Amino acid sequence: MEHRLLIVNEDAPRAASLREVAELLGHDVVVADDPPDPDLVTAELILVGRGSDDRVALILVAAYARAHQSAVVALTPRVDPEYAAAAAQRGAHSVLPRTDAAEVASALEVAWSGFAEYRRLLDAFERRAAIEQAKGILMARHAIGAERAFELLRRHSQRSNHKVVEIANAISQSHALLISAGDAAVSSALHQAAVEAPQA
Amino acid sequence: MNTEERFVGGTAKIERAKGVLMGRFLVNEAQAHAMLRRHARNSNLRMLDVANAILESHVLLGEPKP
Repeated sequence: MEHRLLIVNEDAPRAASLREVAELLGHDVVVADDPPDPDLVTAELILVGRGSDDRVALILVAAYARAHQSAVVALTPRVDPEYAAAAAQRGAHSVLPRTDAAEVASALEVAWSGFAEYRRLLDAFERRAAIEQAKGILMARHAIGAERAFELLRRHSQRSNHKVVEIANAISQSHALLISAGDAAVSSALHQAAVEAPQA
Repeated sequence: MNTEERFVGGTAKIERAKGVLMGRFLVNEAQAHAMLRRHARNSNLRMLDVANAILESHVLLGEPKP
């Protein structure tokens, strides 16, 4: 698979040879003179050079890994288990000690598949969190329990042919606009019913 | 326990309780999170304990003042 690559913090000759190898593998490669803001990066993989100061390199690795926007590959001019461990601990998805084509291809693939799996989990968590928040909003507005709230979401999803997570996001984004006398009366009646329900 | 079960156990309830606060006080997610965290700190409880208390009892609390 071809990806957009960004090389940062790497000395010019090494960056150039790495770029050549990666381009032969079919990737789009940009070499940055200065490391860009982690939140503004659009590359799918970021290759962080070791530079002259390990601390700086590891800070960059951590910053790009934390932004969750791209897979992070830590570059090192020689095999160095200690540096590899430090980089992995800071979130690097793979470590690339040499620049021959096979090494580059495998390091990029390892990094990308690890990141894609992580991203998938993160997205699932975010969807789940959005649904739970929307359930909470419905619970508060209608004075109902979690199961009934999910039932409302699910039914509206089926009726409107939108995914549950889309309904959930719409509720979270707009519920504050929807308070009205009518809503308050309905909510109040529902609340009254909940309070007066016979004790189980 | 897999990650999904862990999420269901704790984070899901905290997110749901945040939603209850968002609905009652017409606040956004960050504000609801801050309310939950502040109350947990002030009363020396875990956020999950506060979330459970909210979820168990919010229907008794009547109409919030928007």
